[in-house]
Amino acid sequence: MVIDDQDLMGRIVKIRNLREECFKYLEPSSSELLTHKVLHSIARLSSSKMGPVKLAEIAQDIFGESDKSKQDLIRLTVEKTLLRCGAIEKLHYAPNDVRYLLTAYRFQKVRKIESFRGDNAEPIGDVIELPRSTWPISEEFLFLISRRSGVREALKKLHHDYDLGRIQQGNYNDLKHSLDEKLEKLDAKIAGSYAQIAEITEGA
Amino acid sequence: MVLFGCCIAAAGHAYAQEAPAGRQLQVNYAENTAESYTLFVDSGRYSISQSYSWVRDEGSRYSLVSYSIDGGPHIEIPRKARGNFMLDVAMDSGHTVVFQATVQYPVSAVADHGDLEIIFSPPSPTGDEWFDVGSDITITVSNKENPGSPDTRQQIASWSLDNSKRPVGSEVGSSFTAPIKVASAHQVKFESQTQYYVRVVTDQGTKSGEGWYDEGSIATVSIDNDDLFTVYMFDGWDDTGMQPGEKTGTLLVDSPKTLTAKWSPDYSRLAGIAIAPIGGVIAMILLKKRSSSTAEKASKVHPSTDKLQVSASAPLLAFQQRAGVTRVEKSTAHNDDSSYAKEITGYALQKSVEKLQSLRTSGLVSDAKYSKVNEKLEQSFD
Repeated sequence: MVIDDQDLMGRIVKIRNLREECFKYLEPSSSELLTHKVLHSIARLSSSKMGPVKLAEIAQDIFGESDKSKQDLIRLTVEKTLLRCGAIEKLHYAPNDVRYLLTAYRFQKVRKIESFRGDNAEPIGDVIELPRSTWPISEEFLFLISRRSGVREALKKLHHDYDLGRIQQGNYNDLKHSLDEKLEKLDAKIAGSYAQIAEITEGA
Repeated sequence: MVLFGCCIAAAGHAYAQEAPAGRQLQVNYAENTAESYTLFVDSGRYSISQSYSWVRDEGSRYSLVSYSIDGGPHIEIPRKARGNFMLDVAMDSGHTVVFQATVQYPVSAVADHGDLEIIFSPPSPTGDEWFDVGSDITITVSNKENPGSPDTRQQIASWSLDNSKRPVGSEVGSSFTAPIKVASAHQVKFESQTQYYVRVVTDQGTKSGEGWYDEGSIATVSIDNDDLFTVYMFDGWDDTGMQPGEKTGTLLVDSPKTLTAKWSPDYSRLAGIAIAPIGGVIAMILLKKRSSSTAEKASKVHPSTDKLQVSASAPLLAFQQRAGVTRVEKSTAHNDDSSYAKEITGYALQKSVEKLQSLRTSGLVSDAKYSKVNEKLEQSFD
């Protein structure tokens, strides 16, 4: 089962409804609860490795050790809470290889959810998101939006310098064509693969 | 136990608890894809929770497709890989529900190089890499756009289906599509060959040999300036791997290459070309002199000769400008253009890095990712 960058970043875009009894694990008042720590640990680790994480990794992150008793403690905790709430999912890679991943990074508290008709979930309060530093943002996306910003700024400078007579028209035309082409490709790439995440992070 | 419009979710097949009395709800599976069961529900509504997929054997699974109630029409169910489908049934009387499912097999496709992108068409109906038995799909593998190294690409060299090698044909390029009929679990592998672009840059003459070459192959490039009226002499290549002074050369393609031909003004040709029209003018003058009377013609020839001499110097000036003065000006302008292009590229890099820094400040980028992306940005603007 391959979880690719697109799948991971799709989880950032999605806003997941959580019942009040599940939503509490996200709230600052629960920061000392193991469930809260596990949720944040999975987010942090899966962002770092851009993939699902094993119990041993979570245990190591939280307790500084990953013996079986610590792993069991985490497994029992998530099975009773985060898995049941749908905040995380369990992926079976092999009989002895189970990994965990968040189903979303932004959550909405609702009064009732998972209705078959889907029309009776009443939102309560604002959407709460996990810290952006724990979002699984791909390096390619960061590269593309950074480069696009650079090319846009370079085009502005080019126009400005041309207006000031710093460069001749031929050179201006060549560079403008080259930068326009680069910008067009970057826009197309971002719009094709990362439109929604760009909207969240860039507002564009 | 009598149930009142409740639903019971289960990780496996449809699941509910039996009731000793009440209206009968019979749940069957077409083609016996799962075991049928019967419920007794007193009244109201009842929700059946049915898994979207369940295990068939080690290498396949059943995927929920549709359902029918009391022999009615088949109602399609949105296809999903995981989770449960909830079906509300009004228990005003007894009902029989039949779920239809299809067999699915996993199809995995891997490429030997990270720059290759794999796309299934049509995509899996369940949104993962499992496909319905008997379906025809294509797997396309192509080069990912790599702004960091546009002069490097992967060319598909071969592919295999379930470890059986298949031909790719001679026309295969940087994109290749493999057709598959899903009959079991399949494994598709693509192997590629790295190619580099060899670019030939020249201000003069005609070039040949520019294009894509396999890594490790030998490229032959050449430059030709046998134009009778050219005033530039080939000085060699700016690449030390090429044979000095040779217009045709070979090189080992172990990375993208840009070979720039160097030229300088050829003054011997320049003088020859410049003298030719002057000689012509003098000949014309002499001819004119001979065909005119001495006294009258002398008075007319001088101004006319002056005029001709003046006009004859125009091509010389033009050549001087082309070869000398103009050449120097052009070279200076080119250098200015080049330095400005470098300046604008450096500016774009600087602004890109500033953007990345702002993303790090906002918490969106970890230090580890920042370093990697920063390095990639620097390479991409080289």
